[in-house]
Amino acid sequence: MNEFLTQEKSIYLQISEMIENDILRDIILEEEKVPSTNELAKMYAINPATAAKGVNILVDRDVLYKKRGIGMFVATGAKEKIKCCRQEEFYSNYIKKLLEEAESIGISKEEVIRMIRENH
Amino acid sequence: MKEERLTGKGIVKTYGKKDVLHNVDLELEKGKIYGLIGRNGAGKTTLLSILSAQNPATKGTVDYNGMPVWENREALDHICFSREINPVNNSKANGYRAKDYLKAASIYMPGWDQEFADRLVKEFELDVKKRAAKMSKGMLSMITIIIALASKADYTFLDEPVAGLDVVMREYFYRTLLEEFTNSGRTFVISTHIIEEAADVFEEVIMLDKGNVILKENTQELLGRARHISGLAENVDRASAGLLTFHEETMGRSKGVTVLLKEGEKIEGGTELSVQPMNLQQVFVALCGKNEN
Amino acid sequence: MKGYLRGMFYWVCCLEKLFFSILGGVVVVFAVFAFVDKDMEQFYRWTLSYMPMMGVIFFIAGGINIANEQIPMVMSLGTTRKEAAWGVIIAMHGTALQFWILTIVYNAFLPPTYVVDSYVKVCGVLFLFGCAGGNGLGAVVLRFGSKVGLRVYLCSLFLLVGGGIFIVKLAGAAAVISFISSMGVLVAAILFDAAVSAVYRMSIRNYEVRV
Repeated sequence: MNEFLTQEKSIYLQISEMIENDILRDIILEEEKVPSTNELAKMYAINPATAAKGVNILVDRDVLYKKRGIGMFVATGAKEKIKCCRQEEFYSNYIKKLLEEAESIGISKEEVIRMIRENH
Repeated sequence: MKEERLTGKGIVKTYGKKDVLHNVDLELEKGKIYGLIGRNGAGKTTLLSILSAQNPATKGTVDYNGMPVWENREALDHICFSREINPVNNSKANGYRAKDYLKAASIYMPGWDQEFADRLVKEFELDVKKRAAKMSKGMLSMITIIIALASKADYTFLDEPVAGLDVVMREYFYRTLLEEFTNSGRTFVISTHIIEEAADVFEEVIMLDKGNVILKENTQELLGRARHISGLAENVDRASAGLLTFHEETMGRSKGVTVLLKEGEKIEGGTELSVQPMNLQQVFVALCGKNEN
Repeated sequence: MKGYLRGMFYWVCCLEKLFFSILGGVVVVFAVFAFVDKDMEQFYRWTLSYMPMMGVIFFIAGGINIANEQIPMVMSLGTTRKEAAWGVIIAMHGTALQFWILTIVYNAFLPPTYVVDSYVKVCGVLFLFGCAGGNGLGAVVLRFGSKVGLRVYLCSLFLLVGGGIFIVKLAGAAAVISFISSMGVLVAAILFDAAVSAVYRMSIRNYEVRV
């Protein structure tokens, strides 16, 4: 949770990613309370509406759920959901770019696969 | 239940033969922090002045919850425009002290929170006995900030509030502003030059260029659709064909351009292009900066 | 209503501060003469002639000062032009009244040898003119800006003081006093004051707060 915000990505996306990272790293466990949007806004010196946007993404994904009057909690099975989601996005987030970059500098797919096999 | 709004319609302001504001339409909702950004002379102070009835518009209306703000005590009780204090008018040695300004504010502002003001004075380490003519620019900024925050007005405007403050005090200001916003849900409109620092604080950004509102949008959504494309000039032209482009820069065979994507639009291209996200300041310079072309 | 009262409170505070500092000055001078010099004659002569003059200058300077510094400040704090104008007009008249009461009290305690005929009447008329003059200059500043206002102020101050001294030298103090205390002049003063108050209210109509 103590990461800095970068310019690379929308702030609200970074907020949702940071919460997901914390869940994956067992910094926040399932059924535990997540900082409120106001607390997040204060922590990162951002507008509460932006923090809320980031949190709502996770609510839509069923990673978080709201307990009325108390706050946001990590849903059971959230860790698995996050891993699943990120597995699906793994290709477009990392592999695609890797292959495009390799192609632009003249490294073939087979060579990339060889690199992975040999260096792992 | 009527929604609380401060609405400006068709605002025109003319000085002599020159139009300083051209037909500005603006709607400010309750409970948002707006950033009003624009170059020097774009008309930010004039606009804020007119919205708070401190300046008569040449044409157009400003309404608060449906009633005009002009000379309207009821409406003005909900609006605070804490403007820059200029001690030049106070040239004599017996000028106002900081505490005189605060005292005047406490009398004229119906919602004034003295406790809050006292706390801010302490946190800002303000010497209230100092006379305005002897104060640094930073101290004058602190007074305007304290007046704005402690006024507890539903619509509070700040004009270049961080001028003269060092970076530590600026960060303190943004945090205090957010804290007050979170606690009270007041609407704030902050005009500033120092865009990037403040960008995270603004829920919506209003861009004023030469007296025209060229943009009013949720900050995150704006940044979501702004991209900077660079690479070989012909590739850049191809990728940005049909898109709304700004601020072309060329150097040799390379070209860089800013695009604002509309709903559903995409940038077609691979590694031959660099497509980068932009921060608010970069978007502002692209839209309002000096263009070589 | 609340707005008016609220606004006036501030004006009154400012004018009262000035009033009492002048009063304080007079008391100090009095103490010096009474206990150090033990020569009260000087003191009485001095106060008789300078107090009304100081009073008039107080209003004229006060009026222009309010328009230059205080009106922009309170207008930037969200008051309406109507409230600001009436607040100033009422506060200035209230202070003029205050000065006049002070004169009456002073006159009552004055040793008989020093009492000047119609002193109280003359002072009253002078204060009324002073109040009107101050608001008039204030109106000029509000409508035309402080540069123009300053020029008008300096010119009128010159004319006022110079003209006053000249007339007194020419016609003699007694004649001037009896003229000023006449009914005609009093009526003129009241009319002038009323007219200036109306002009003041009008001149602030489209006032712009500028840094």
